[in-house]
Amino acid sequence: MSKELKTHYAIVGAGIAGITAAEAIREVDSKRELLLINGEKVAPYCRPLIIELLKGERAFDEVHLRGQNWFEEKNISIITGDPAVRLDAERKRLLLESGSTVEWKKLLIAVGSKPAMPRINGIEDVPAFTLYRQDDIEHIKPRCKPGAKALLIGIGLIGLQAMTSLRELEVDVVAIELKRKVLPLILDEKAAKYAKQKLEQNGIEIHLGTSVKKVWSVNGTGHPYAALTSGGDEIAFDFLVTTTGMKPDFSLINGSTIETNRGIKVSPDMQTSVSDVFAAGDVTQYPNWIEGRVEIHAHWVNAYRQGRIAGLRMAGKISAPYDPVYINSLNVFGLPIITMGASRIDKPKDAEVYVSNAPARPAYRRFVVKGGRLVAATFLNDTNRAGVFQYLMREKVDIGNIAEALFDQKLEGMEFLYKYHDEVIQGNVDWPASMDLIDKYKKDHSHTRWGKVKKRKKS
Amino acid sequence: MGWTRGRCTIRRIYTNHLLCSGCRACSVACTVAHFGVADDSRGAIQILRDPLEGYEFQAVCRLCEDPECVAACMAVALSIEPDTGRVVFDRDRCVGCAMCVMVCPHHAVVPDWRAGKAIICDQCEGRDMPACVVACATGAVEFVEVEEAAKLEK
Repeated sequence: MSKELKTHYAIVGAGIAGITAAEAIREVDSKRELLLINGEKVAPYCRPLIIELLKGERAFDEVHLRGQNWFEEKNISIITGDPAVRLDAERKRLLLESGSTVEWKKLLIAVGSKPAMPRINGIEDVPAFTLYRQDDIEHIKPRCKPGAKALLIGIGLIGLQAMTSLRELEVDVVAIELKRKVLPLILDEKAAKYAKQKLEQNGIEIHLGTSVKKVWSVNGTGHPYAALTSGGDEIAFDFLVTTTGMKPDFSLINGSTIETNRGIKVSPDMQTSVSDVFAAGDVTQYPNWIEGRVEIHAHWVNAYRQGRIAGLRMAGKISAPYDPVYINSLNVFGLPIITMGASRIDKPKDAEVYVSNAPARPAYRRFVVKGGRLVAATFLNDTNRAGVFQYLMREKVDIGNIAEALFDQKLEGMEFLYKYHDEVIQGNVDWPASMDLIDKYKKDHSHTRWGKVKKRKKS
Repeated sequence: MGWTRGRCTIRRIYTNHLLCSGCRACSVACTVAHFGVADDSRGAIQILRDPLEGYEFQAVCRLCEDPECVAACMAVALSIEPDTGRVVFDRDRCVGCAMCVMVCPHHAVVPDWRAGKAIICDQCEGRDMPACVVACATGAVEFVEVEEAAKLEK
């Protein structure tokens, strides 16, 4: 039944960006009506946790973003299961799938992204799934029987989560990655080697540097489908899961005058090129100061921060802009890995690389310093003090002179930094003075103890 | 910089490194109170040590004004309690992704890899005084209002 709705604030998309924006609006403005349009049939949920649903360890109401009461308490109306399909930015209207229209004064687009499907011959004829929404889980779950064989295309973050869950359900997994290392967007060569080792120890068959050319169904017993890789291998499987990345979902704004490139172009306060239309989360593009280019930061923290800035701005409050840093924390079958910044680049230019490596454990830490600033960090099986490094990176603290001390675990350089905590962490940064202290510190203590960190200078 | 959330006054654990002897009684008391074992590596308050100068630094939740951990928690296990301003942690919801560990600039979130959960200070909910404050023999750990702690930190 179509309705004509009127609202002051409209938010399309009930992911973390949309929910945070709604929360931020209500902090400033508790009166004017706020409508949240959720395209999915279920209540807003934590998207990264859908994999927990596959494992069956959690029920759906344990992964929701906010309880039902929250919406009532905050006086937020929510439409569920009726996605917005068209935007008329000039007349300030939204058309929903059911035919209802929504008239708004201020709009936030937080529709997120959708999975990018690889082009494979015959993919229509085999059971192929993406892993993104709650209903994907419902499709995959019945096929996860012990002994079934899954073909996984793309070893990225979602792929890794999928593998972990599938193995827990005793499904055999063959994983294919186009690049020559696993998790190519976040790991350098060495870290990827350790991760690959761990995956293989857990029974995952990995093919790197290859792609799937075609898939078809086979007659006879055994696994009912087969795939041919560009390397010439033939792989039998029961179902196919594609986790080859995401792209912003432009279906709502197609045909509107909102400027886009890779994502929706936004100003630091999350305004799009059209007045009163804001955008936040995975659908936007934002400058990456580390690599000096504009890209999509499809990331939880980014969506949260952007949602908050957008919400406050919509309600008339300007907050400090947010410089995103690409940070990731993952668990490869019990091997914790944390990466930050441009950690995927194997041979960074004009940068100093600090590596500490203990293959026996294995434990591996790698830091890249460029122009005095930390631009990449990898922690593998040794995540100690990662938060502090994240802070140094995000706040662009000049650590040029103390880098060596910071990365030396034997010297516990971090404690050294804590000693000057008030100056550094609390923001009263008075670097010249602390630099003197550091020089003194260096002089006071034997230089032989600094030998732990291998320093490699790249020209 | 003092601040309040809503109308309430917020109290937090303040540590004075000049009084700390590094005995780790606070960490031990914390794990005894929460897990029933003496295991200082899992304490929500951690003592970091500089081996060369013997300097002790205490890492514990400082109740940031805009907590990074709450922003980063993709399971929504961390939230700000409206009445008390505390950062509350729902252990059941935690999936052990370690995002909070990764973003805390104060090294105040401890990963418990074996249990696959984060450990974060809850100010000993249900007790009059946090266990670490009671356990500290030198008075290095105090439970004070946020504004007062900010003054002391200066």
